[in-house]
Amino acid sequence: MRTARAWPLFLFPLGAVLLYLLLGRYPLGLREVMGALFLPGGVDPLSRGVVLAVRLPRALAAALVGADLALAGAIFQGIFRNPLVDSRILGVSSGAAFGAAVAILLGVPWHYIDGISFAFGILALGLVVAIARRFGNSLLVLVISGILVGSLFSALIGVVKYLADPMDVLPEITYWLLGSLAGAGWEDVWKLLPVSIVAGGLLLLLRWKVNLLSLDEREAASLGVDVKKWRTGMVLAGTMLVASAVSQAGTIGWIGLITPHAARSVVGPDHTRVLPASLALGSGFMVIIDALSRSLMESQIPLGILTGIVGVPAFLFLFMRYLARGGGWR
Amino acid sequence: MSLEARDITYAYLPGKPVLKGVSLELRRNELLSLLGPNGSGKTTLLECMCGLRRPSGGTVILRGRGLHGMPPRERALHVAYVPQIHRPVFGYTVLEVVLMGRAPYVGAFSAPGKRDREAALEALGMVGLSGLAERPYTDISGGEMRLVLIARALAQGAEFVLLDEPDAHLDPAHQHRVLSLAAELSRQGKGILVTTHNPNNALIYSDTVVLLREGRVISRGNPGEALTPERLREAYGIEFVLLAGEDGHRALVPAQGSPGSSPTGSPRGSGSRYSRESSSSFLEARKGR
Repeated sequence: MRTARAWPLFLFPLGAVLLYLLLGRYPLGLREVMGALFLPGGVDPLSRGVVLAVRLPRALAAALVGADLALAGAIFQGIFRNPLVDSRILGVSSGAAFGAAVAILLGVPWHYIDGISFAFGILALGLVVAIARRFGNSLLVLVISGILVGSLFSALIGVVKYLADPMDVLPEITYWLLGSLAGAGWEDVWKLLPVSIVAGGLLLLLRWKVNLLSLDEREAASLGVDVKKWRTGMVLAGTMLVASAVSQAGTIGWIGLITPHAARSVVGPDHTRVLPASLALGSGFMVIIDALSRSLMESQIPLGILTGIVGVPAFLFLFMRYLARGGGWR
Repeated sequence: MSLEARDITYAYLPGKPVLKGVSLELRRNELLSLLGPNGSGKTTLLECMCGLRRPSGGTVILRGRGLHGMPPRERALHVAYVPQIHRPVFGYTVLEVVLMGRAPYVGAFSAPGKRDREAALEALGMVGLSGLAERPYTDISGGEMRLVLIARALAQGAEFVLLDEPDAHLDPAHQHRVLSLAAELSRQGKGILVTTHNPNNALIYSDTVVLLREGRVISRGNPGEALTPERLREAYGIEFVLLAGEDGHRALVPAQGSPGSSPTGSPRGSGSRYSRESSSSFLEARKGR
């Protein structure tokens, strides 16, 4: 049984960000990057600008998006007692994506799109919670209403795509849906940060409670846990993270599914360690994916495509290991 | 001090009550066995008495107060529930599972501390499984799982522990280990309630027996008086015989040839170590113990 501590894993996103600052079309060495970061005036203004105004904010935005998605995925896998769940389970991603698609269709200025997208994500969450409460708020009802609301918004996205002008608007919508951090700056970091801190911080504080909620509902209740209250709180916080990440970066799958598995394979199944470990691995993973997106080809590769291409083999690997160990997710 | 169910009714479907006015008192220093056929309402009653189900009628009284009006955390400080075993999705270590019993003592935004770990390790020691602390719960045997869940209830510190069929799916040695532990805990001051399908386990380990049939109590009292072949026939609809062995050992078994039991069983001859006894002579044997 592996029970390594979670905190050394935070070296991974730190290293990934450093690597990110070094990579790119404008060649920069370690000395210049370090100089730009820690010695104001120590490097030429152009290098400084590339590091501080272009690469660093985008790397941090990627790290926040990855952290949000991975943390939400780990929470959902825990409280839904299902290791196959990911951050999209409750339909919030689809809601947020629909909001963005409508905004693009209506020609809303680019920098308002994330706000509209976030609002639609919250709207989707509201629908899910309202339906679930109407029918007793059990785990099953919650998941089913999430799937229904998600499917509804996916269908509506189809309608928007069908209506969109195939010459210019449709490619724009498609590109947004596939996910990208192209052009992300400090403004995007500031938009991501509050939700990440508040919702993410809350979930990290509640990390031991996730263990209790991963038990059978009656068992958890017998231990004195107000199951519905805590589960609703965690669902709200988790979906806020997803809506925030999706509104900035588009619908990016797989991170929320795979990262918690990777985290458990290092620190064991205890959520007091799984949550911080998922956060660390998710942010580092996302930074690397965005670095690849930026530097593999002349044009930027959409993030959703890269996470899928990296994510499917990774999941296959984890699944094979699960089978080889004779079952039992750890 | 006791945990008392008063005139409990419970219906899953309107008009089809599973419990039809059951009263039952569980005291400290007592092991109470709850018996009854499938569907007689044992588990439902147990869940009502844990506060996990709100009865349609009647009340559950804990220390003079209504159990169902208490906040979940306060209830958990006094009443613990030991479910039937199951494989959890995540392979928590045995110690992590036992630590979950400390939930009523851990603040909303914190994790178990040193004292909680000590309490969990002590509870694990009491069930004799200290050596398994770091093993994944998913890798241990069914009997060990049962003991771990009992350790979790001990870590919870509740004075009343309600166990749902703790002897199910276990070999005789593990049944003995689990139930003699339960009996030992009742001698140390806990009030223990177990549901069981095995009348012999009720005879051997319990202080009190309550027999349910179709949502009503049809027999209660000390095992010798409450568990007679007549009462069992009334509950289960087949004939039982009481066998008495040499050292005061007794057993209640289905009679040969009664409906539902095997017609091809070998007949017990006079050379058998056990002989059939009437329930009255059994009672005398028990009193003379």
